[in-house]
Amino acid sequence: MFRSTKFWHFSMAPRRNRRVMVVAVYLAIAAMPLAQALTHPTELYRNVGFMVPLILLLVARNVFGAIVPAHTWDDRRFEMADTRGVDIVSVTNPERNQKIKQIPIDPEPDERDIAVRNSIFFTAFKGIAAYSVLLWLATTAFLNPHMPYGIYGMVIIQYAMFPLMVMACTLPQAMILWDEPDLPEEA
Amino acid sequence: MFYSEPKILGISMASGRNRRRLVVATYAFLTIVVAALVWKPWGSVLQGPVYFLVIIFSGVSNGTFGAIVRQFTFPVRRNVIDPGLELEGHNPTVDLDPEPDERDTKIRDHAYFIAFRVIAAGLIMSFLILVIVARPDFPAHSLFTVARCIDGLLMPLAILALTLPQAIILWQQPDLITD
Repeated sequence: MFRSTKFWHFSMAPRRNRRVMVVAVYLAIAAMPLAQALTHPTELYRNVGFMVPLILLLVARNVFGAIVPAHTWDDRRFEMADTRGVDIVSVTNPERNQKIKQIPIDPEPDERDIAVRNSIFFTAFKGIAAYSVLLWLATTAFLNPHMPYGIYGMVIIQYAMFPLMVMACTLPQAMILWDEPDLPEEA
Repeated sequence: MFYSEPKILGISMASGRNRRRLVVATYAFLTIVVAALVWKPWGSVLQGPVYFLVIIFSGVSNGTFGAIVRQFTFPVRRNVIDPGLELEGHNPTVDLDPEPDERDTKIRDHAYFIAFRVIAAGLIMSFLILVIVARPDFPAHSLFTVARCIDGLLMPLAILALTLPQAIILWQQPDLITD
């Protein structure tokens, strides 16, 4: 389930530390639309729109992902290992490369890990489902053909889509980090 | 997981093939309805999204798919009065949907795991489309285009959010053993 119990120099074995981390990361993510709302509220996503999923995927892969894999997409990690003890990929001798194997860093999840993971996804799905249904209802209120709120209706919906993206990219990992009990420290 | 002897319009859904046909037919129908709603040729006839959601929730989640397999996202308790336990002034009820056992929980959670991945991928793609369309230099950019685009992207997601896990269970489970 867990890749590591350390993030930088901080131990993530205690659940409290992991919860502090989750809160800190979400506060940092929330600062993005907040800063935009305070500066150019109607230009959310205009210039940095493509960056939003990238940043969130980066968080999922490199921040939360340093501790627990992102199961939403294939996040297996490998390390190069040479059967002869040499770990340099040869350009001139392709046959030699065949002897270099990729060894998965993440161990195969056992039955408990799979049960925990799927259970977390069950809960996360309920959250994302409820939010997306509510958001769609809000969309039809704010963005109906009469456009009662004009550009501001659309701006509100765009801001409201942001948490949905955050949930889609990071919620299951955050829930695992939040829920799992204290872990034994790494040797 | 499955209700006993599931049937839709007299057709047995014990066979996995029939269930898959049902899933395909339902989504084909919903695709047509969504396309029509986004295009909105009927004006105000089907414009009420609340009615449409009610149709999806009660018709598909709890009706069509729900007649075969229980929906867990927004569970609705289905009780019947047990005549054997009926007392004066009381209506003791029996829950038609007992708590899932370990195997059912495993199947359910796995279906939700797959469903979440599909929804997450759909959301990221929708978001990227929205970012492109919302740019002022996009050829067809207008407030109305963006609004319709958001509507057209969020509506299928909301429908999938209500129906996809059930559809996955219906699709994946093997033929049921019937008497």
